[in-house]
Amino acid sequence: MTEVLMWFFAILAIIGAFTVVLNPNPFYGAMGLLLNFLSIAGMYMLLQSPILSLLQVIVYAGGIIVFFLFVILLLHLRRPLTDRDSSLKGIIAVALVVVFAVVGVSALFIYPMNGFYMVYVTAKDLGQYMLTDGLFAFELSSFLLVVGVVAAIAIVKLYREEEK
Amino acid sequence: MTPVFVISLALIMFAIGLFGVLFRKNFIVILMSLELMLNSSNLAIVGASQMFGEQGVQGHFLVLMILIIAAVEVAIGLAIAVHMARTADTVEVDSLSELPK
Repeated sequence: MTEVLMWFFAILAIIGAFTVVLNPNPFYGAMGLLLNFLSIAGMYMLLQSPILSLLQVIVYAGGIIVFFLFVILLLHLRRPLTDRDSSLKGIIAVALVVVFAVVGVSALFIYPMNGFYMVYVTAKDLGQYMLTDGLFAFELSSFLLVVGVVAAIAIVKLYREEEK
Repeated sequence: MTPVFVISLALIMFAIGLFGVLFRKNFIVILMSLELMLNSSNLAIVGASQMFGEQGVQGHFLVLMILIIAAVEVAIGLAIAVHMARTADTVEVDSLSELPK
């Protein structure tokens, strides 16, 4: 059962990723990204980590995708995009990426690796770690979020000032 | 289900995202490809941390931090996209070049 589900989620994730990259319409790209995120949430569930699976669905699928869709629908650019790069750059990009993937995957298969020793990670474990050993990183991340909000507002204000 | 399978999947997803960043011109699609790459690194970290038993909680915490960084990156990136569309009326990255060709 696990084997079947793992292949199912992996193939869906790859299909979603290709939709993001190859579909000329960004709206369908966002839908492909949603498919990818949901199948990765399934992979987290198979990896015995329900808390990350839930966070993936809430933060990525529920937050970030909606944010992307808002912006795509808000901009509503009339001019059709002459997307995709010219042929030579495209061929170089494909070659680089294929070399990267082949070398990486073959390196994974060449070197011996341990099997899984899975532990069921609950929200309690994660929260305990977050408020003891990871406290400093946790506080810094809250600072980062504030910086992000301020930066987003500042970038939007930039336009208002140019208008005057 | 082996670590090799999970990390291979993450690597292939990362390669597809990298291809999107190199190949596409639409700024929003480039941001989505960046999300794909961050997400694949998350998957690789979870797969690797589940090889270490109890200590794997550290990897899960790292994934949580990457989640926060991805959220901030998308917020700022989309603010830049909105600003780009208002001032230049396009989100193509090549058309923003101001040097003569």
